[in-house]
Amino acid sequence: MISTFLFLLGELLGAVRTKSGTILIAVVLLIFSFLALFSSFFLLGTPVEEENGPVLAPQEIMAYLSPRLSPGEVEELYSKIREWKDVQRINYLFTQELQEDQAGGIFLIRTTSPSAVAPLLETLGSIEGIVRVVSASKSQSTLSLSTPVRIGLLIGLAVSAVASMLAARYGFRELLRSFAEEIRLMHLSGTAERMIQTPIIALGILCGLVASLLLIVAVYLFHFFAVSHPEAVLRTASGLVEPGRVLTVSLLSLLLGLVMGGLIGVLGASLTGSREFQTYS
Amino acid sequence: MSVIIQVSELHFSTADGIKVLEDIHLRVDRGEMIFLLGPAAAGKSVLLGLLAAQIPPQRGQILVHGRNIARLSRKKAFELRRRIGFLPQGFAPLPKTVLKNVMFKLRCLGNFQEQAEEKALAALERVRLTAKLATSATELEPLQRVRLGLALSICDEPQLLLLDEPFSNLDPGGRTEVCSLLAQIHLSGLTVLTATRGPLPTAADGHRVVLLADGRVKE
Repeated sequence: MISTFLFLLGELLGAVRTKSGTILIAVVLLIFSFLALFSSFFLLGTPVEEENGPVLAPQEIMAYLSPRLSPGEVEELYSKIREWKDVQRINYLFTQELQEDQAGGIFLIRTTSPSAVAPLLETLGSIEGIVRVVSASKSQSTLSLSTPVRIGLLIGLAVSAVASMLAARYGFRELLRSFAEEIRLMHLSGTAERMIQTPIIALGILCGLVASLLLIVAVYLFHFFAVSHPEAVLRTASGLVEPGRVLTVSLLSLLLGLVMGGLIGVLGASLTGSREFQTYS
Repeated sequence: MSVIIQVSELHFSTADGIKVLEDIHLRVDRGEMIFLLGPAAAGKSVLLGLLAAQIPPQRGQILVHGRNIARLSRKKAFELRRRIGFLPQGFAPLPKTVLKNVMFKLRCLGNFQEQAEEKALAALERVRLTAKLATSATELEPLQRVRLGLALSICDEPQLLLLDEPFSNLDPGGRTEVCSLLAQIHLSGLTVLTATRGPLPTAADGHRVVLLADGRVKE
């Protein structure tokens, strides 16, 4: 059974020609777009900070400075913290960047490991001139997206879903046309319909899998960028700095991609019953 | 002798109401070799399509291998097709080598690579086509194409062989050769039903001939 399935999948892939191959690549890209829009719901947006504070990676700490500190004192504090062995990196953010008007500036500190966060929090909290310290454990946030963005994403989702289904139907029809003689022979010789259809469904799932993996790679590339440059993305795609959120979105996208690919495959497989692929119709 | 095909009161019309088959009665015993002779558009291909469970019947009864085709589930119809070797009219081989054509069918029917190769070689040997194993099937001459079609029909060891116009596009020598080949296949125990518009080669002498004209059977 598996041997026959693999044989037929190989034969089906061998029947891919330039036109059908191009359309199937377009299908992969459309599924990718669908998944990217889906992921955007969870990764884009600004954090709801009122209660929880800003979004931070597990190794990050935000230290809010007193407005009374002079630039020289801030400079001195910056240099002092940078020398600590548990501190991997420290950035100074202006209050305007995070709309924290009550603070006199913010240090975004990245520790060498998540275990270094707790002692560092304590040390920073005891320093005069630092009014508040926030770490990731306190800052897993919900993201807020504006209504127009939300509507735009929903429309994009619907359009990409419909477009990928239409392209898949057209692409599979093209592919099956170059496999028509084989399908007719299978029908004549008594090969079960499900045996003919399973490789087509598998090809759809393969398209979904490729699209999901592409998306996961893209999300992780953005994640690594966001972690190394949090100040650049905090206001637009705060979800990207949270590893847990990124992992969840990746897994959900993989699942959704496989389901989408499966649906597309079923759509393609339903074509084998049409007159075009029968010797007698 | 047991019956392998029993057709009773069979009627068939096209979607636009043209009667193709009218009150057909036909009995074929196991191990027989029969020629179904009739002019073009007499309904031969439709009758063979019905017998091979490729066309759903409309009215009447068709028993093949003791199974009523009209009542077969989809799954059972596929199972029945596997027990029938069928060569349709205008058979077009796949754009692969001769050996791979036969192996494709056998692999689709669940045979492993080695088993498929073994069966394919045996079938091609029976139709005397082993010299063309690596030749592309689309480059074969008409007679060799028929041989390949026959190899495809018998490769999975069916009990019943249905052939639709295997002699068309062949010269008299080719017809005689195919007919002799069919007689040899028949001798191995297969029931062979061949539809043709004629004329029948001399090698067909001595076998039962059924006439199909105007949608009716005359023996």
